[in-house]
Amino acid sequence: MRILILTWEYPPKRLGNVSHHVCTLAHELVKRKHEVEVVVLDDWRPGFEDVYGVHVHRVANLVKTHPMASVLTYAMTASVPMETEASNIVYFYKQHQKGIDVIHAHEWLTIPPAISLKHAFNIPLILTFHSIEGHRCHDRFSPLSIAIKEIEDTGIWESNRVITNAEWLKNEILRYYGGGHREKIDVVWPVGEGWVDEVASIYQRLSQESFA
Amino acid sequence: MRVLHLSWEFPPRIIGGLASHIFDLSRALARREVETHVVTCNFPGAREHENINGVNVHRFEAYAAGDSFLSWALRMQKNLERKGCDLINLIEGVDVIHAHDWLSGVAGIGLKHLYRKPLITTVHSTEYGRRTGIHNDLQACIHEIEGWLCYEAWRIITCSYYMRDHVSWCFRVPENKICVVPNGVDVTKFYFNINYWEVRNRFAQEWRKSSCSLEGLCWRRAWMF
Repeated sequence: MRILILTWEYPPKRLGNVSHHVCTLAHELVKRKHEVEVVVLDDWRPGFEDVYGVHVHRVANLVKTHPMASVLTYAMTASVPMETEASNIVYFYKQHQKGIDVIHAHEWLTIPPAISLKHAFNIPLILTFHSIEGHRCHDRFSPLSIAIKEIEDTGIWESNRVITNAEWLKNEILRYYGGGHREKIDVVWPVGEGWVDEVASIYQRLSQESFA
Repeated sequence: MRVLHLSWEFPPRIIGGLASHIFDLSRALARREVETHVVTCNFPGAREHENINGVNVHRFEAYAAGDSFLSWALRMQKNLERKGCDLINLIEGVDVIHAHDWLSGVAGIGLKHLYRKPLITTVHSTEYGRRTGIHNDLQACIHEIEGWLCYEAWRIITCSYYMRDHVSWCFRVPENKICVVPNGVDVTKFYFNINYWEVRNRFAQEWRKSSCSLEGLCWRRAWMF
């Protein structure tokens, strides 16, 4: 299978543990003979790198000044170069009569580009939530948090499957974003040996469903 | 020929001159048998899809929370982009994507790359010109987005020679990338049955000299009194 992973951190860029998680996932998928394309936001090292079979495309945000260091305007402008790189990958494979089977987006920063890609190319979308805005923010009712919660909410609506790290986080997502999503959410505890197989089987099931 | 116009305002949502510009432009294009689609923000009372004198208007949900006008504008453009994707898939491709100003430019850049179609942009005004300079980070961010749009566009249209020189200077765009297309006015809209002297006398006494301008004011329009 051919998997397009969107993330906002990937080694050597490390801000939280999403970086480590995505790196492990990508390398383990390559070991299992999947083709993995990673598109990651990295302002300091834009370019392409082949790391032991994982194709890492690092893109930089072209807009450098953001008022009040706003993470929201940063995320929205950064989503366009991510889409650009991802659609370059899609068109590259199209030349060889191949397609991307699944888009896997991590965290809210990659939700806007993932939604655009899903709508443009009609590729199934999987979202992984490592945490949700309601737990991260200092003020749940600040305009910034409301906006990020809206993005997360839209992402859950738009995605075909949602993956969370723990049963607790699944329940929290249901509490914040509505119990109607219960059937959509899978729990994969990303520790130990077998978890990448679980994720791969979710990809498999999803791509079969969408082409059935 | 199929053209997709992206705009954040279109009648009945009128904020500045952009709405009337696109209203007249799109209807004139439709008269010339160019299949014209306009994607624009929704507005209370306006229909989601409608056909105005041959122009297909598609309205999307423009509501988005944000911590500033800029954040809203950028989030709104993600909705615009999504609507644009759905529309292009529905009508099976477009030939040209035309974005008006930075308020639809980011979506235009995204659609350009997603569908690999030529992007044309009309620069109606610049952040530098609107505020006579770049004074803070919010403006700098908009200024950078405008520059990015001018960089990504295959061709830039300005409505006056003044704006061509300004855009060329402001964003270091080569002048041969910029085309000047003056605004057209649909004069049939101005055939009123009114008493001109009565209207004129509302603004100045009869014995005073008066002048009337039917054009945008910019620095080069050196008005001398």
